[in-house]
Amino acid sequence: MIAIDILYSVTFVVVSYITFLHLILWTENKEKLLKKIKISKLPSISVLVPAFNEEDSIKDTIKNLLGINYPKKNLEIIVIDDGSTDRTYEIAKRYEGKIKILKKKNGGKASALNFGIDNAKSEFVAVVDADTLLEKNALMNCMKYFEDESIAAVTSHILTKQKNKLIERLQNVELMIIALTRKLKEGLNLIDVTPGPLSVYRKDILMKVGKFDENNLTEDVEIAWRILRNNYKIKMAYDAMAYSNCPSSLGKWWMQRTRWDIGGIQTLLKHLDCLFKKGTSSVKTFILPFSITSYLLNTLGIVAFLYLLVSSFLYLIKSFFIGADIFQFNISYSINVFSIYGAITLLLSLLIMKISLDSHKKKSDIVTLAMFLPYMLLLPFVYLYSIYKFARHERRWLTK
Amino acid sequence: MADKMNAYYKAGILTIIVFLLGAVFGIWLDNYRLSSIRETISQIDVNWNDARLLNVYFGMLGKNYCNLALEENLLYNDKIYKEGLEIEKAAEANRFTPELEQEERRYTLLQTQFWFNSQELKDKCNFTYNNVVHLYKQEDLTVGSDMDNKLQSSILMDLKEKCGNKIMLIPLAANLNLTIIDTITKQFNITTYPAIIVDEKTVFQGLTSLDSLEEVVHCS
Repeated sequence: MIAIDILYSVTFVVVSYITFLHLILWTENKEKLLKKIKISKLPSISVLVPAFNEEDSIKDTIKNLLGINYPKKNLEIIVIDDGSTDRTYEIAKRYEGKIKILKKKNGGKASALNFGIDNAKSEFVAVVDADTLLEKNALMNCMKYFEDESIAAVTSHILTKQKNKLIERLQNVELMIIALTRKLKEGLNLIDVTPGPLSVYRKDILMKVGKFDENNLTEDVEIAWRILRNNYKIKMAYDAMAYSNCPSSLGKWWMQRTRWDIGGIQTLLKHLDCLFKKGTSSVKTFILPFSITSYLLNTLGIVAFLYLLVSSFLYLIKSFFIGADIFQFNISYSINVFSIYGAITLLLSLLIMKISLDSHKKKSDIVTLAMFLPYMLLLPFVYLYSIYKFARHERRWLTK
Repeated sequence: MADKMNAYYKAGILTIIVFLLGAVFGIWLDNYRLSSIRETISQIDVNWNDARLLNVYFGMLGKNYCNLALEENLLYNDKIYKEGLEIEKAAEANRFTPELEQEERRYTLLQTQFWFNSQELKDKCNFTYNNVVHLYKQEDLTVGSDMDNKLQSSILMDLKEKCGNKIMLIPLAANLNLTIIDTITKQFNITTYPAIIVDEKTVFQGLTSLDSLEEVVHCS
């Protein structure tokens, strides 16, 4: 009982702290957060499109990139075919001349990106997933931030391409919340991921910190941590819109999130040494301690939840066999300090959700909003599955 | 930099304030429940003394007081059992009132007195009702034990509903360091909880089904 009480209290403190941090950042910076920045120069940029078996989407992505607003003389588009077994290479080849096409043996997304970086001629490299469509000014809006020399990377505002199925709409709502909270964290240099759909990097810094980690399942998270550890900054262009394919079934969603979680664990373990080294990077002072706390609370929370679930199930089974009417006895519930904490946490989370949806000036349907909490409650189970997969050293590319 | 630190500090201060406010509200709620329970137990105490003195008075007068005493006992049993469930719920929910244990002890002693009185009344007046004493351990952290206690309570509630005035249901917490309860458990060799003593003769240890109890308790 005491252990569960402590777990509840610590979880409340951590969740409240992070929510209040976001609310404070929102209150103090909401005017300037979404302010448009002017651009004075447009440097050369190589757009890297890593592709593995993307025959369904590569054509649209190339056409989209060819149509974006950026001076053509300063824009180099490179499609890296990572040993596809379908028609990806043939389709991309049709655009040769307008774009550069590289082919290599399959080695994963990070290896394709590194291959692309080695062949890129520009001062900046942008990574665009092969299933992503950019708004016309997305790249330009990212480049505005590089006026400051200490900025190593700029991420974009990602939403889902499809919004027909409930699972797609749920992910879209989730991405809206992620977008705003990510932007809010920018001022504290706490953006801990430069997502694949669209992120732009200063190439010399990328080379200096050592390009993408080919052994990590979330190379976009790992590179961001490495950039921050080296005391560079990461910004987010809220007006740089990128629309990406999202998993269209629960099974595919589960696989994608498992990959993210395993990559997260890999990143955390890789950078654990940071805690014991000198320095004041945001990875050391906030991101790593917060991630460790979150992982621990998640693990303990799941253990406690499963314990209660199994106990309740046994209770139900036992009551059935013994002939006891448990619903008559156990229906009442007494409010106490932890139910108060639970209600506060829920209200704070709903407030963040409302601010995020309002900032997008988009209304979600009632079913999506009602299902959002159950959807979020699935995440700890994915995490549990990921730990199991990670422990069994199953770290293959889980989305394919 | 100062602005950045300010955001961290402000979030920390807000978290502490909300945490403390939640705790203060929780303490207020727990104390509210505690004082309500105190009041109820005091009322039960008064009722108990009233009923007991009535028995003594009728005994002194030598009149046939059996029916009146039975009526009083049944009324008292119903009331005290329902209050017991409220105390249990409060004990589960409360986090800031260790004083609640003292109230639970008072309640258990009242129940024990009621049990003895019920036994005496049964002997004197040749009543046929059954005394069903439910011994349990509160907040037992042994896996399954707490579950068994709850199930046993539920089964006994069903039994009470079926038998009505034919049984006196008396729940007693066995882990409140009360000498009288410790002596009873030793005397009946009780090692496993929940345990049920029927008419001071038959002892069931561990979770007992309604069917098993109905074999001993004849209420039809």
